[in-house]
Amino acid sequence: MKPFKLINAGSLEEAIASLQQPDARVMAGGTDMLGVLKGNFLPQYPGTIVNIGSIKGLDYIKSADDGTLRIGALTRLADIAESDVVKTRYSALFRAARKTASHNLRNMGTIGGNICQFVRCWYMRGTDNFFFCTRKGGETCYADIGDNRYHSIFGGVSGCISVNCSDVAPALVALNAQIVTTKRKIPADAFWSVKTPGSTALSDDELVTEVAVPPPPDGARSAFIKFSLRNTIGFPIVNCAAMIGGGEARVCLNAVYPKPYRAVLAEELVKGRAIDEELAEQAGEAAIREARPRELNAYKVQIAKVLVKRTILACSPTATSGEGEL
Amino acid sequence: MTSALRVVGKPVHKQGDQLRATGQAQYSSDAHLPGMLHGSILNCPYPSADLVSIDTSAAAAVPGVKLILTPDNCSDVLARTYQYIGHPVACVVATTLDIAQHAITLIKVEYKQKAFVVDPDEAMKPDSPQVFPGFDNLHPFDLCSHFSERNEQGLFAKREAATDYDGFGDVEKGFAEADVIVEDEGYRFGLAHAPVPERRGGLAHFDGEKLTVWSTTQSAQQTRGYIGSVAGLQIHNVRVISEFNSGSFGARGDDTGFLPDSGPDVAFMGAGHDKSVALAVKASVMLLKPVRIFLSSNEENFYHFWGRGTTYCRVKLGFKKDGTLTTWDMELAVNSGLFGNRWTFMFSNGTALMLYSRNAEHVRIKKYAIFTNTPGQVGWCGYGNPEYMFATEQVMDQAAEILGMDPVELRKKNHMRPGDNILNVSRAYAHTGPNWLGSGDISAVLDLLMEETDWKSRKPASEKTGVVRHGLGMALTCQQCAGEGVGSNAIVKLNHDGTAELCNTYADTGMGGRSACRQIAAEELGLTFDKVRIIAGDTDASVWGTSNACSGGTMKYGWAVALACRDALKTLFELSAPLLKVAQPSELATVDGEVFVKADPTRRIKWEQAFLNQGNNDIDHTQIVGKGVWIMGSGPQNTEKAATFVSLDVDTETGQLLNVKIYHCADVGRALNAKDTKAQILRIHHGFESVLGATMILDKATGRLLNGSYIDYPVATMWDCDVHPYYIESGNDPTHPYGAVGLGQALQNGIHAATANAIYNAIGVRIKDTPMTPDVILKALTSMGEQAVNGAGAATQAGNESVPRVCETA
Repeated sequence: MKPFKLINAGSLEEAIASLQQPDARVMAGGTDMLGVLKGNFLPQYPGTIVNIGSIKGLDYIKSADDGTLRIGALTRLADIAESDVVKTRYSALFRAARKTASHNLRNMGTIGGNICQFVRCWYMRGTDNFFFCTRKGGETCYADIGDNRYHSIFGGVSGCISVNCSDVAPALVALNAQIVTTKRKIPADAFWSVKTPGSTALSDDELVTEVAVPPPPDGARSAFIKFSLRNTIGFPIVNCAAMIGGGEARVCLNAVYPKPYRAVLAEELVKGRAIDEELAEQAGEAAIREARPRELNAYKVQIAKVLVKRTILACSPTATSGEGEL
Repeated sequence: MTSALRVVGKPVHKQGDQLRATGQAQYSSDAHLPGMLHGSILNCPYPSADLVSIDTSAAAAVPGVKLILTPDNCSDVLARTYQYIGHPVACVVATTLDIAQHAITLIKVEYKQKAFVVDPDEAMKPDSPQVFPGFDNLHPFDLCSHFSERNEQGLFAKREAATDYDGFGDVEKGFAEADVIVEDEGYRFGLAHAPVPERRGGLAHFDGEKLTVWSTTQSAQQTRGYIGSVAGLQIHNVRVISEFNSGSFGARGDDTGFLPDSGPDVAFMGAGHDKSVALAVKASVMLLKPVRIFLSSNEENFYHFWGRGTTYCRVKLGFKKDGTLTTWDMELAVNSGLFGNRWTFMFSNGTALMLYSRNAEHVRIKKYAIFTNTPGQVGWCGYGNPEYMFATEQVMDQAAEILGMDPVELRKKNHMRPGDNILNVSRAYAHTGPNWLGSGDISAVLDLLMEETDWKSRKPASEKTGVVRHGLGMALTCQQCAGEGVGSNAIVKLNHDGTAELCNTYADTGMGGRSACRQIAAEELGLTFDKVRIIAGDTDASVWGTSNACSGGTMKYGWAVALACRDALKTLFELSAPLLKVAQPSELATVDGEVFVKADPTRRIKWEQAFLNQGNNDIDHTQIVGKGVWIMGSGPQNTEKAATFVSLDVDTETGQLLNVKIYHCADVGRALNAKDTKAQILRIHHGFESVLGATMILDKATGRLLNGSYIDYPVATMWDCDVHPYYIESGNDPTHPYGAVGLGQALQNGIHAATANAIYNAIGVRIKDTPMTPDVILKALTSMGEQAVNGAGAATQAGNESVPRVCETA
């Protein structure tokens, strides 16, 4: 790790002011930022770390009068994974939080940090900026010509085929959440973006303050399934969240594209129809219709197809639970 | 004997457990000294390069930098030719680690990059760049052994050095006489990393007279010699301290990073290894200051400790109709990276030469190294056997199917029994006469696991349907626990208050071996466990012991400890005899610090009285010192043997392995510590890593390691599989004072084949690659139709045409 300046912000205002410093980076729980600092994989080593974990009052889970679930940006994943209100009404999010990393990391990691983490790519994250790739302003996507077994199966964005590896992100997309920032409200659908090297639509002086999840429509159920080599502690090879019923059908895959990937073709198939095995199977097929796997990751297409099918089935009124255990 | 034992066999806590649990234990990497300097190593960023020039002036100008080692001033450690990314180039020693790491970035190096190869298949092609110029990358391993002079019991009396293959008999004749020949190839074991948690390195302090080195090692005494040669010191001026050692799993058994890099023959001795300890020693000798150099990141640790990997394996077995295995022929090519580990080649002989030696008449085993521009191999539990048995125990499964036998029955027909040949080809062990299995009942092990896994209800894959299919598979494993010619010294010091200190060099890397020695000493001396301490982590305070590797500790140290105790008691009884008025010391015995007359236990004295029967003052008790020396001879050999059964489900839609349960049972002869014995078996889960996904992933374009971190490289945890540990104690092994045999190195030898056999039992497809990740399983499932027919190895009828074909493939 190299030397850097640490600022423990006492307020959002102080944090934003501190972010004006060159090479400043925000840190919430620190589980991703520690990897940045130790791995030194960004073109510019962070000169200043603005710790927002020190800001009071941003860790809460509450239901607003209109039924909206409001989760403070600094709420730990462990608290979400143990929340009764989340468990009762927002199964996809509950499962996603529970399936993220390990107990230790859920005790540190926040929901705000989780949705803002850098993408997963062993080239982009190669230590000491060994691979100066497209995502960092370079000219080559090394994964495109190298080992891409864990990379995008739906093509690249701006020449990058890394994957967003958040477990929470697809659940928020499926649940039609809004990401509240210091400047605006961004629909989850539009929150993730491919930048150099960031992964969100946030501007440099903008911070997430809250995640707002509307109440699911009556009759809707949601589910989340994660496929990894190592249960929760592995990053997802593919994960899938869905909310179906009450006239809605939202299905979102992650770890298959540089951003969370809405399986729109699958949604169109199941919207307003009774879910059964055959329909779910067709939806799985539809979800991967536009897949363009690389040399080494065709297997992810098959897994994505199966996950979409199983997640949709887990949203069926006849499913025993929304857990969609895999 | 069992009923009389008071300490041996009991589940005592390991010495130092409390210190480990409370964080007070000082591992070598915890050692700090006043005025200590810190070193950081510059690693080559290219997989193949020559040094053109190196400019250290900017680094040297940094305040706090005390020394920069380069090939110019440290040519016996640092090379000018680099053969993998991570190859050490230079080292900065400074007052703080931060300064050293900063100064490293200021060293200007001009490299001449050269063509390289990291893919072993590419490396074998004729036009491939050569890792060692002038040598083919496919390099025959020529430290081989032929066996001859078979006696009337079938035991081989003679071993001769050869250069072509390991074995005996005439395999062509064997196949001509076989009823059924089963042959298969294409087995490939992905390069895997020994799960060594503690970073490599050392703290060296040379005070002008004596050099002290804190380092984690399995071979403190041998390392002392290497360190002395680097430092220009004789052994008596070198002290190695390795009090608390993290798990090293064989990967710290051969600390040969002290040798200069050279051609492939030196490479087989382990050159190219991490140089951190050698550099710390060099710097300390030059500066007369304590110098600490430990690798500073997990990624750097991942450059070293690669311990498994084969690229090619072909197995051909000849059977009689009844399943008698007579002929064994195989070839394998080990992906050795920059350097092979000769022990990995020499120890990977645990099948035909031991496990199935009972009926074997003809054996030929040919081994090759494949050089690539990747880090080289160190030893690791199994030393080549997991890769080798991954193939052989699957081909045995195929043979059972072809022969129409249950896989367990085929093993029972052929596995070794006490008195059968144990043939080692390792130059670490001698072979001056017949060597045979000392004890063991593999059939009883198999019966136990068949019962525990309900083996009898196992159905073939053809009867399984549904998305998730269950499979059950098994494999045998064995390995010799050290061998002829190795041994150790031990000294025991009796104190007048009825306590004792045992001194030997036992590198306890977590398995509890030091405590087992302490139990043996307590048992021999009639003391309770708490009345004995073992001093084993400091070469100044202990005595010689061979490198503690190959699960040979209990054999190597067991007898020496027992003999030292008996030697001390001889003196104690001689001093006691006049006091107890007996004619012969042999009429006496001791328990709990008292000596008594066996015929009349009411006649007894405290040890102190005997101590004072030497004409000494009553405040000058002295100690009674006993010594023991033990060298293993030819004859019965201490050998680990066990079976691994794996139960799992295959999700045929995603290729995922679910509900993996590993049942492992060893015949331990005698469990010296009931708790530690089970704990040792529990760590078989590290073998599951190579199923789960743990393998070296390199970028082909740059040669860079992509997954050198614990996020991207899945070192297995207890979450990843359920382990069901069992052991039996079939009888006293003659090679040990309490009948124990080693346990640990052979743990993982069978797990990969057993898993693949279970997958075959679930879905009817042979998996010939590790790791067995979803992509591998899905690929196999995709071609399920044709593979189900051809999956079992090709069976050919041999010999007399009138002999009916025993079995067709399915």
